Amino acid sequence: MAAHLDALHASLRRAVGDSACLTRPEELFVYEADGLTLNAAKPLAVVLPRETAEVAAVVRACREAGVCFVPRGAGTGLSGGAVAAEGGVVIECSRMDRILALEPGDRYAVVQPGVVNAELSRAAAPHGLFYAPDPSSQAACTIGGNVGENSGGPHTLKYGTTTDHVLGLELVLPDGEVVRLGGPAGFASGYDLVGAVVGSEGTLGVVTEVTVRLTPLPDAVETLLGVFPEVVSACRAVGGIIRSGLVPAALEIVDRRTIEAVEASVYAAGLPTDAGAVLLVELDGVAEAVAGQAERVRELCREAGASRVDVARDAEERQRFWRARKGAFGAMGRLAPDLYVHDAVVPRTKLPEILEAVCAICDRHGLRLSNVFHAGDGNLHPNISFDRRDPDELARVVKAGEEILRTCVEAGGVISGEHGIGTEKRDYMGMLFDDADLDAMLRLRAAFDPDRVCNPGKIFPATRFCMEANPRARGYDRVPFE
Amino acid sequence: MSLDDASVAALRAEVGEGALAAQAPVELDGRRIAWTLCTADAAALGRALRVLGERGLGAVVRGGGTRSGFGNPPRRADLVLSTRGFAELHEIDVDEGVAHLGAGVALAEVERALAGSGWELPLGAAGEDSTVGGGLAAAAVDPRRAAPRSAVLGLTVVLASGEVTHCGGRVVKNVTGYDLAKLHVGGHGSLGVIASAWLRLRPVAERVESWRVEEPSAPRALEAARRPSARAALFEGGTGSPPRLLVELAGDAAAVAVDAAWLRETCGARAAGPGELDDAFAAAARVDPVDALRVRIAHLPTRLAKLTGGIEAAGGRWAALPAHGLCWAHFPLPGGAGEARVDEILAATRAAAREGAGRWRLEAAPLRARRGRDVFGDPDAALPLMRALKARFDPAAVLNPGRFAGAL
Repeated sequence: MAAHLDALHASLRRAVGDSACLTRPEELFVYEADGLTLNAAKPLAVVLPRETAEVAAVVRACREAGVCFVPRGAGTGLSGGAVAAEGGVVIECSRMDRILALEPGDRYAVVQPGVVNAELSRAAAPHGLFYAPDPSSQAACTIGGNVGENSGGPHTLKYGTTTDHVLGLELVLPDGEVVRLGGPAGFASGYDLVGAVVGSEGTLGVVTEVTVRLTPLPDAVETLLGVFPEVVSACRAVGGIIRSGLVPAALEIVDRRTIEAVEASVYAAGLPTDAGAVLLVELDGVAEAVAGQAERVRELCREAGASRVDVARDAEERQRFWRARKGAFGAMGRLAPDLYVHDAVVPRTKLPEILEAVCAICDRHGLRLSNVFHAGDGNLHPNISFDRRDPDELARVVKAGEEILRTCVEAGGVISGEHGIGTEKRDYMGMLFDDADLDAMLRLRAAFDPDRVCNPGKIFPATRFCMEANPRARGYDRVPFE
Repeated sequence: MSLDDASVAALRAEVGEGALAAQAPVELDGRRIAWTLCTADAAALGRALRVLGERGLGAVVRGGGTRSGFGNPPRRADLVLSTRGFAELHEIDVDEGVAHLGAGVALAEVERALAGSGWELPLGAAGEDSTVGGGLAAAAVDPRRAAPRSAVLGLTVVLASGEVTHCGGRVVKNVTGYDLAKLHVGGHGSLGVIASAWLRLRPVAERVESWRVEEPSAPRALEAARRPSARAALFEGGTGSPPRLLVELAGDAAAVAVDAAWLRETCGARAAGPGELDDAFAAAARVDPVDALRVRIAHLPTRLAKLTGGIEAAGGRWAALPAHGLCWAHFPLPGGAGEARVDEILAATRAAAREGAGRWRLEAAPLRARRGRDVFGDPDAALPLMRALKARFDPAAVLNPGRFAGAL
C-alpha cells in the first residue's frame, strides 16, 4: 500500500509540480472537511493545478493508480461535497483563478474555476455589469464551486441561480479527456449538457473553465428593513409581496436570535434587538419604478403587521444591512462552538406553519435554533448551535435535522435549495425520490463517469430502498454500471 | 414500417383497446404512420414503451404537432405516441405562482385558465394546438420567452425502460440531486416522454406598450432590445426590405414610460399595434417547407450586423431577437433548386454562424434538403456524451429514433 501511495504521489508531482502537491498529514488535515465539519475524511493527496492540462494529467494519474478524485473550490460548501468521502485525491482549483476574458458588449466572461465569486463582480463593475448569483460566502467561494453546487444566494429570487448564468463549460471528464460544452452564444444544439453538469456536485467531471453571463447593474436600488413582532408576520408580508406581482431582488428574513447574535458581533448593523424578526427587501431597476415599488412594499409590510419599515438612506447603510445578513452565519459562532446550517425549501405559503414546526422540533430536542433565510424563495436555513463534544447533543442535532427535512418534504418542499446533497443528505434522498428516480439520475452519471471515480460517495444513498426485493443491490454507489 | 397484429395486441394488452387506434394517419417526412397510441395513464405508457423496446419498434413522440416538422428523418416510425392524453390541468397555485400541468394540455387552454389570475405562462405557443409537453421538449423559443428551461421546476417523465420518474419538484429553488429536467427540455422526446410539468408562472405586467422603429442600425436595435423593460424585440430585414425593429415594453408603468420616452427620442420610434410583433414573429417562424429553408443561428449579440450581412449576401431575409442572440434566416428554395443551392445556403449559414461565434440549425426545410444532413447543425464536440446518454436512457432506440442531433 505504501509503495502504491508513493507511486501515486510521484505521478501527481509530475503532473502539477512538487509545490502543488500536498501529501504530509498536517497538509491533508486542512482538506478533511469543507463547511460541513461533521463529515470528515482524509484524502490521499491534494493537488493544486493551475491549468486544464494539469487537471487532465492528475485525472489520468488517478485512473492509472485506480483511485478516485474530488474536485474542490474554496471548501465553503455546506454539504460535504468537497470531501474525499472514499479516499482519493482532492483536486483543489483555487489556483486556477484567472479571468480569461471579459466581454462587456456581449455580456459574458470566461473564468477559471478558482475565481472568487465577488472578484468577478468587482472586475465587471467598471463595465456596468455584475455576476448575479451571490451566495453568502461570495467573498471566499469560487465560481467552480458555485457551478458544482448550483449555488444561489439572496438575489436568486429575481436573478435565478448559477444554472441561469452559466453559458459554457470546459470539463475534464473522468477518463482524462477534455470537452467543451455550450459557449458564450448559448442555445446548444443537442442536449443541455451544461444544465446537467451545473449542480452535479463534481460527480461528472472537473470543471476547468466557465463561461458566465454578466448582468447589467441596476440603475437604482432601494433596500427596506421591515421590523416585525414575530417571524410569522414577516412571512405573511412575503406572501403579500409575491402575490402582488412585485419581483424584488431579494426577500430575506432574520429572526430575533440571529439579530441578537449579529448585533453582538462585528457585523452589527443597528438591527432592533427587540424585534421578533426583520424582513430585508431589496428592489432594483429603473429609479422611477423602484420608488413606487418601495412604497407598495411598505404598505404590504404594514398590512402584515410591521411596526416600522426603514429604508436604507444611502449605499453605506445598504451595505450595513447586507453585512448583517451575510455575516449572520459568522456571528452565530458566538453562540456555540459548532453550527449546523440546514437548507430546505418549502412552498412560500407554507413558511409560517413550517417555521413553527421547526421551532417545535428543536424545542423538543432541547436545541438552540436561529433562522436566517431566503423567504422569497421559500428557502429555509434553520441553524442549530451546538457543541459536538457532547455526543448526546450531537445525536439530537442529527435527529432534529432529519425531522426538519421530513417536515419540509411533507409540506411539498425539498431537502436542499442551494447547499446540495453531498455526504450530508445522501441518505435522505429517499424522502423525495424512489429507486426509479434515482436510477434515472444514475443513467446520467453513467454517461459521464461509468466507473464512478469522480467524487464518489455523494448524492446517492449508501443503500438501496429496494434491497430486500433485490438482493443484488448493494447501494447506489456500489452497483457497477452494466 | 407499421405495427403487425401481434404488436397491436401486445400494446393493447398494456394500454387498453381504445388507447391504440389507426384512425387518423400522421404524415412525417414522407411516411404515413397509421397507428397512434394515446393514454392518460403514465404507467400504461411505460408498459407500452417496454413492449416497443422488446419488439424493436420505434415511436414518434408528438404533442400538438405544431413543431413536429423539426428533426432529422426518423430511422423507424412504427407508431405515434401522442401526449394529448395527459390532458389534466392538475393545479394552478396563484398564491405561489406555480402550476402543475399535464404535458398534453394546450398552452392556449392554460392561458385561458390563468386569465385574471395575475399570472401568465412562461412558454410561448406556436399555434392553438401547442402543448405544454411539446413546448418543453422542443425548448420552444418566442420573442417574450427565450429560456423555457428556467421556468421548469419539476417533471414527470416516462422512460423508455417503462419507469415513470420524477425530477425536480414544485418549489422555486431546488438542488436536490441531478437536474434531469435540463436534459428533457430541448431533448425532443428522445430520452423520455414528458407526462407533466411543474412550471413557475410569470406575473402579468402592469403595463404593456408596443413600438416600431424603422431602419435602425443593428447596434441601436440591440441597445433598444436591452432596455430594462423591453420584454421582447424583433429586428427583421433582408432581400431588399429596409430593417425594422418591433419592441414590446412591459412591466412597471413608470419603467415602461422611461423606456418609451427613450425609444421615441433616441430612435424615432412610433407606436405599433398590439399584435404587430406577434404577427411578425409568426411570419418569421412560418416557412413553407416545400420551397424554402429556415435556419436558426445562435450568435453573440454584437455580431448581428456581420451575420445579417452574410445572410443577405446569400439571398436570405432574416428576423432576430437581438437581446437573446438568436437570428432566423429564410432562404427561398424553388422547386427547381438542386443540391448545389442547398449546399450554398448552408455554407453561407456556417459562415454566418462563424461570424456570430455561435451555432446554427436547420429548423425547416423540405425533406430533400434534410436527407443526409444533420438539421441540428455541425457535429458537436460533446456528441460522444450525447450518444452515451441516449444509450443509457433509450438503449433500444424506441423514442424518436434518428431524429435528434447526431441522428440519435
